[in-house]
Amino acid sequence: MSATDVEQVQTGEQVLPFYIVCDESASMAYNGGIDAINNGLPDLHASIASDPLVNDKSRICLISFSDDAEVLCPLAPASDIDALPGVMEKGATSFSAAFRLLKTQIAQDIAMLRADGFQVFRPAVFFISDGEPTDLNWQDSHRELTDKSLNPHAPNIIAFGVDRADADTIRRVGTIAAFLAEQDVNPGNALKEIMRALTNSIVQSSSSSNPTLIIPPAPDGTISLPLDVMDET
Amino acid sequence: MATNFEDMGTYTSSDSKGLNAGRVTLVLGAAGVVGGLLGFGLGEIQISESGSRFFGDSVNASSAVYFALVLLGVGAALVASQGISERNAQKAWATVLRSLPAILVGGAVAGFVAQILYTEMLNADEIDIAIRLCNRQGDYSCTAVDNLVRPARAIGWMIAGGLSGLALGVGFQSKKRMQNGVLGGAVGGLVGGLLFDSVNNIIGSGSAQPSRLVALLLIGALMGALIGLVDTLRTDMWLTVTSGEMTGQQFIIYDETTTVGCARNIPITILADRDVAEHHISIRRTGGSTTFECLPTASPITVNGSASSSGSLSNGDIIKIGNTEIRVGERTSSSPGTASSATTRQAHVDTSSRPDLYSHSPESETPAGAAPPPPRRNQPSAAPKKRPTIQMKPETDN
Repeated sequence: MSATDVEQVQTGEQVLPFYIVCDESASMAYNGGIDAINNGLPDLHASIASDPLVNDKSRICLISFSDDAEVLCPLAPASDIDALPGVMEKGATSFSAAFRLLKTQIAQDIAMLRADGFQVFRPAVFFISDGEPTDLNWQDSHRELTDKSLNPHAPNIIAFGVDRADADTIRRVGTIAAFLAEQDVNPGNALKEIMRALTNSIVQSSSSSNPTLIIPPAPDGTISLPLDVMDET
Repeated sequence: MATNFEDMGTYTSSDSKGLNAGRVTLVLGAAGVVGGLLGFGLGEIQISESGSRFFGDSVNASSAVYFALVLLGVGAALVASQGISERNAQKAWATVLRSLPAILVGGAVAGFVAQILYTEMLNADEIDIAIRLCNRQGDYSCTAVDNLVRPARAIGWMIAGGLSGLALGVGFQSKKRMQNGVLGGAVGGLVGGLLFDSVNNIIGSGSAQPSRLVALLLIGALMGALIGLVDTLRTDMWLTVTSGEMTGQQFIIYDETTTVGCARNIPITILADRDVAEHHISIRRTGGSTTFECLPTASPITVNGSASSSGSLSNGDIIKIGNTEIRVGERTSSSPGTASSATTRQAHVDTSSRPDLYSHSPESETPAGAAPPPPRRNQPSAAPKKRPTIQMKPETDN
């Protein structure tokens, strides 16, 4: 099955949900990550909303995490979004909080989309972090999210790491792709490139009547990491 | 032994901006009492009905064993007190183990030397005359003998106290704490030694054991309290934790270089904050100025709200390491704890190693290659404290 396999065959219009999950731990403030993400969101919105086909085929959700995780912007077509809360400096880096919220949120969103008659493609998650997780058991919640035997709505995760992010951690988070900013690249600038790559990926993935997740090439200033385990179920 | 001594923090809780010297002295004094109790118990191993259990045929060697055992208790308690007060058992054990050889050797040397001095200083004829006089007068407490013995005993305990204090500094690998320990321990031992025979007379028991117990409790308390007093009198700088689980905890900055982090074996251990790296910052005091530097792999800290990887520190500065806020206290001519220069100096943003990869980005507002002007200390953090609202660009019609 491809990376964008259909969760359930239905007769309605096809949509591909995208979840942008941003680390807003304290370190994101000093390395320019907060500004880079907040500055990149309007461009991402404009790129999607300006193309009717992309807008129709995609749904965007913004989630942030630090000590806990929260949905900043519920899943919606970009054109329905007039404004959204930006990311801000907060506390620690709890991956578990992000993965747990993702699991419940994706399940709710898929149920809602199906109730509205949509044919839902497997969600894609863009996971962005600048550091090591501060919770020890994040791999348990990651497995509960991504293991298709445990979660029928397991999303495809593309992970991006900048600044102090550890390559091994990032490649374990990503299920279909993982990228790590090079050490000598300014984290804020790397995140700008990541936001561009992410925007291009959403636009390209949703620009056909049959949406297919397009994995972006390594953004400038990052390297592609070999994945720990390639999920092919 | 490490050649580059690092200073170790010490322990007390205080809500005030200044260093709580009384609490430092009290904690070490209390540790000394516990140490005296331990020392008494250990010292009794050496004492048997027939004299000394080990090396009974050599008064000098026998005394060396006794002092080594007594100072093992006193020294271990003093050394462990910091880790215990920080609820850091690993640090307590590590410092005790590190100081153990110094305590044992110091105790043995002190006992040996003290006994030689004691013997040399005492005039057997004078003592014999004093005892005969006491017996004739029915003065069985015989203070005259005490007065003859007292200086020798006091000097013996002064040496023992000084060496025990030295061991304390060895345990913490701190040169300044060695100095403080020698000074405080010697004075504490001297005073305790002077009072030793008086205690014996006051207790007046048929057995010498209760007298030894009380005397050792007193000596331990005096050694601890005076080491604490010297510590605080010679302190120029300290840190007070003002947020998180360790709120109120104070750490004295002793020597030239101090490491702060979450590791259990470093001078200042910040617990219960997962954003604090094992070795997060190094504080260096040279020539009256204090600077800090974030250590490799550690994230920058904020100083008065501005993120920085290195810079200077002074009285009243609030630094945030991970999620833990710490106030810098410095002994100045003015009252301690005031933010005297917090708003006048600059922290330095570390962007030196970042190439200007994407500086062409017109919307660039983040550091890109060329370092931005370092933020003023009193500037708010670049990060918003309130979640911003991002307005989306106007949607383009088809």
